[in-house]
Amino acid sequence: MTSFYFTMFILPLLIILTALFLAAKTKEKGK
Amino acid sequence: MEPGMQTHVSADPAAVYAFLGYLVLVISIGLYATRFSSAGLSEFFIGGRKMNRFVVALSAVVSGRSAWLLLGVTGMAYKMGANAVWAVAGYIVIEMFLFLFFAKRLRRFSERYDCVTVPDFFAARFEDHNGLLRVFISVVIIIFMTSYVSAQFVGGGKAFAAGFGMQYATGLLITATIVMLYTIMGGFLAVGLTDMFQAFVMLFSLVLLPVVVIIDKGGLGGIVTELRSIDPTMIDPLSLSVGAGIGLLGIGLGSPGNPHIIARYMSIKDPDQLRYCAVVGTIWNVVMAWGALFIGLAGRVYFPDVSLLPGGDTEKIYPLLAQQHLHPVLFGIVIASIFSAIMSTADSQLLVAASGVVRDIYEKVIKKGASISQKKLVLYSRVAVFALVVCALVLGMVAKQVVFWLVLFAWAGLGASLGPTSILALYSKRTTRAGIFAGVAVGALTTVIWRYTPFLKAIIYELVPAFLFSALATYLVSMVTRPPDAVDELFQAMEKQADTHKTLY
Repeated sequence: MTSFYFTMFILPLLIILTALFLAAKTKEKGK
Repeated sequence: MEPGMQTHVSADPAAVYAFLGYLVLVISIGLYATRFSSAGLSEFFIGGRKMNRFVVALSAVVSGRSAWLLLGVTGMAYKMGANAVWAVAGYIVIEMFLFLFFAKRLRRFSERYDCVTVPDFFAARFEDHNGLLRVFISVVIIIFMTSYVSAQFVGGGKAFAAGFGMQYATGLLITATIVMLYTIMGGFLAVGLTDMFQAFVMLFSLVLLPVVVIIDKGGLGGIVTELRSIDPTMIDPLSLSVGAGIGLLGIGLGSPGNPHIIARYMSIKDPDQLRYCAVVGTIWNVVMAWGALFIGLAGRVYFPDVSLLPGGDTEKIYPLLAQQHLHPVLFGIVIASIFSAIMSTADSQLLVAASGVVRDIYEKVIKKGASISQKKLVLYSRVAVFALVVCALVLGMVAKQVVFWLVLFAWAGLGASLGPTSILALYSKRTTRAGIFAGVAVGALTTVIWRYTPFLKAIIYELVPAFLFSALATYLVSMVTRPPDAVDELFQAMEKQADTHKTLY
C-alpha cells in the first residue's frame, strides 16, 4: 500500500522537483 | 481494434461539433504559419532556430507521445495496475536529462555548423566527405519515419471509426489530409504551434477524465479498496520481475534516437532556455502520464473483467469511460485528444522524413555544391511532404503488414541505433565515423534478432540490450579507428554559444 501511494503521488513530485533542481543547477554563468 | 470495426463508443452531435471546432483551429494555425515557413529550408524544417521555449518544450514532449500514451498506457494500467508506472517513469526522466544536457550541446553545435537535420549533425561531426554516413542515416530515418507516419494515419482511421462510427478508410484519409495540409502550409512553425495546442487538449483530457471517474466512484480510497479486492498486485508497483521492470523503464531509451523528438531541440532560439523546457516538459509529461495511469486503474474498477470491454480490448478504456462519464462536448474533446496525440506525432515524423529527402539526399548529396534558391528548396520540401503522405497512405492501405513490422522496430530500432551513437558523438571526442556505422548497424540488428528470439525476448525488452550493444560497438570500433582531425574545434562548438557559423559537408 505504501509503495502504491509512493509511486502514484510522491514519485511524480520527486521527478518534477529534480527537474527544477537540475534546471537551477545548470544555469550558465553570466545569464 | 480492427479497421472498420464499430464499437460501443459512438458520438453525439455535440461531440462532433466540439471535434470539428478542434480541427478548424488546427488548420487555422497551419494557415497562420505559412508565410514564416516559406522563407527558407531552415525556417521550414526547424523554425529558423527562432522557436519559443514553451513551444519547443511542448512540441518535443507531445511529438514523442503517440496514441500509445492515451490508449496503450491506460490499457496497460488497466491490465497490470500500478506496475505500469515504470513504463512512463523511464521516458520522463530520460527526456528531462535530454533537455538539460544532450539538447544544449546539439543545439549549439547545429547552429555553428548550420545543421538542419539529424544526419546533418552526424555529417558535420564526423567530417563525412563522401556523404556515405549522411545517406546511411537518412535512409534509415526516412524508412522508419514514413512507416511511423503510416501507422499514425492507420490509428487515426481506427479512432474515427470507433469515435464517430465512420468508415475506416474515410477516417484514414481525413487524418492524412489534415496533417498534410497544415504541415505543407506551415512547416515547422505550424507543427510546433499545433503541437502546443494539442498538448493542451491532451493535458486537459488526461486531467479531467481521471478526476471525474474517481469522484464518481466515491474517491481514491474506494478505488484502491476495490482494486485490492479484484487483484492485490494491481496496487503493488513492485510485483513485476526485475527484467520486466527494467524493460519498462528502458522504453525511455528510445527518446534520444528518435529524430522527430531531437530535431525539436535544434529549433529553440536560446539554448540556455532548454532548462526551462526541461521543467515545463517534465511537468507536462508527468501530469499526462499519471493521468493515463489513473484512468486505467479506475477503469479496472468500473470494468473488473476484460470481457466487459468492447471487443475485450483494454485500449478502449479511455474513450469508453469518457463517453460514459462526460458531457458530449467534453467527450468530443477526449476524442480530439486521441487525434492530438496521433497528429502531433505524425506531423513531426513527416517533417523529419521530408527533411531527409530534400536536405540530406537532394541538396547535400544529389546537388552537392550546387546553388539552389531557398524558395525552390521550400517548394521541394512541400512536394516531399505531399509525396510522403501519399506513400504513407498507400503503405497504410496496401502494405499494412510491412508497416506493422517496421513500426514494431521503429521506436526501439531508432532508439538503439541513433540513441547511443548520438550521445557518444556529443560526449566522446574519441568517437569515430566508423564507430557510428558500427553502432547504428549493431543497434538495429540486435533489436530485430532479440525480438525474434523468444527466450531472449522473455528476459527483457529488446531496446535495452540493443542500446547497450550499440554503445559498445560504437566504442570498440572507435578505439581502433581515427577520430576527426578537428575534433577539438568540433567539441568547442558544443560547449559554447556560436558567434560565427560554419557550413560543412
